[in-house]
Amino acid sequence: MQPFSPDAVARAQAGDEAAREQLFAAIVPVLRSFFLSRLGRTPDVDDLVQNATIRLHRGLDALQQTDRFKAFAMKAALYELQDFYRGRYSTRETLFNPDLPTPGSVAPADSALSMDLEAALGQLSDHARQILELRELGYPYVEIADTLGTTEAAVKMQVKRAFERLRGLLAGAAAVTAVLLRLSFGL
Amino acid sequence: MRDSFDPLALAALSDGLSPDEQAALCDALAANPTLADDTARWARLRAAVGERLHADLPDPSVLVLQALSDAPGMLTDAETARLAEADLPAVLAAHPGAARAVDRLRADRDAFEAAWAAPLPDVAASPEAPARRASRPARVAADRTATRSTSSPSRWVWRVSALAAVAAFAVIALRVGQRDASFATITADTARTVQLPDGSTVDLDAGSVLRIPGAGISARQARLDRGQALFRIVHDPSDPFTVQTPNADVTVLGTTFTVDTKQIGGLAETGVVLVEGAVTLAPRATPDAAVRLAPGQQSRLVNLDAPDAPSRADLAVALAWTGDVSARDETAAAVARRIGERFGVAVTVDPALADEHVSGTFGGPDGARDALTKLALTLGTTVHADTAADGRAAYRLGAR
Repeated sequence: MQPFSPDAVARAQAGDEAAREQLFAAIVPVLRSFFLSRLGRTPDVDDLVQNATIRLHRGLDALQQTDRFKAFAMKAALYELQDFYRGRYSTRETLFNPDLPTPGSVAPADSALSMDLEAALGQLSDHARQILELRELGYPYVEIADTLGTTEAAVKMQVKRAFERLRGLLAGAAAVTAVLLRLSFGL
Repeated sequence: MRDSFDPLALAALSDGLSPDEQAALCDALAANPTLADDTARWARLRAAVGERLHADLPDPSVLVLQALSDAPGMLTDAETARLAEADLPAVLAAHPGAARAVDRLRADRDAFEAAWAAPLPDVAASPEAPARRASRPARVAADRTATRSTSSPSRWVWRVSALAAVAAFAVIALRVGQRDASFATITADTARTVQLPDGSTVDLDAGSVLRIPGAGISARQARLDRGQALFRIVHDPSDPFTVQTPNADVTVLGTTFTVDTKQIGGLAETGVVLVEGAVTLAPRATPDAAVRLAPGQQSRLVNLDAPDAPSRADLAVALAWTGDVSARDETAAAVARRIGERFGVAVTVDPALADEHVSGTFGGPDGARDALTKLALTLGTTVHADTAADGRAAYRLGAR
């Protein structure tokens, strides 16, 4: 009998230990193959396989349509991979220095670091925004490059260019402010 | 050492630095308060991007449902309702990164389908799994050379070795010929591009002979029997791509590279030039003699001898036949000039971009337009077409 057949899945749900063992013995190589294909040979693959398997164990009894085990397993694998990228496995690249401002930690009212946030956001190109959003979703730069069909160096170059545009904007704003001060107060 | 880092790049990419880079950035920020302030503002801007994304997309897991929604039977009724409630079309329109994440998840979905259709054996228990070959530590060519030079083989030993090598080569050639029954042969009368079953592409020079896998055998291989070819291989770290020539195996770890092979006086010779990524080159009979190439390096091997030690390649020369312009850490102005010369067009670059250093291969079916579009993409800018005073096509990279 096929381990993923609706009948086998139903028997595993009903408490048939042999059917359950056979089901999970068959799905583990699929999960391993999938994670290896996405991440390469890394120690994280073992954790991903284990956690995706636990998801399946926990969710199996609630699976209503036993002919949809593949969809059920696929979602478990994709959710696990998404969690991996979003940092649940603590492999996300870390910030360079805990003493420096981290994203979100800069107080909006910090006047010393004031800027026109809307104007700055408006300066972001679609490409740069894509990259920053993908980073926010947890993807490392090399995966972002793969997703966008370009190289990691090109992705990083675009981020650097966006930073330089922001600096240009800030420099321009500072110059305007200086002119206004001179006009207003004769400074 | 720290001085070699670009502080602006470090500040822009501060969310993904190595310890050395982190130290260099700390030095740069301490020495430049303006840069430190700008870096903090940059962090705030990035935080704002994240806050807006998460405000519109509080539960990113719905992206998985979106990626699966176009295949019938993948979602339950509850998941379909959850997806409808998330109003993803509006979110994806407002957030291009989220839209690309869905594309990425669709690729994940396809990878799962492939794993489901043909599950690999449990590689944790299989020491001979294919991917292990790619991670095999390459021996240093210089060590082998030293070993051979001090061994001082006598003349008869050399002859026996040569005969054995010829015999082994003949056996290998026979076996390769038998295997080729499962391959389709492509003879390029003129230069052409070939799509491989796994999505990789090969630019063939005129006169080259390539064999590509047919149904029933691994799609992650090709044979170059004669001529030269530029391979652009789809990255798959778990399934390295192998290019075979009559005397060598090139194991590909996801990359762009050229292979040329020819017969000289009865000896098979294979050369590899690596543009991007990583490859190993090994004689067919002695895979442990592999050398690993870094981008911009080349190596060559004759018959079943060990490959030459990797050396720096002149990419412009090596890729001249492809029509592409290849650069490694050159200024944008220099690359643009070479593209202009290659395609006979006038190219100008915004002075603010001219000194940016870029690497890559710039080309495509549309010639100058494709090459300049790729260069513009690398620089994070746009390309504008015009006509020069002498009537030639003219392009400008950067703001109008």
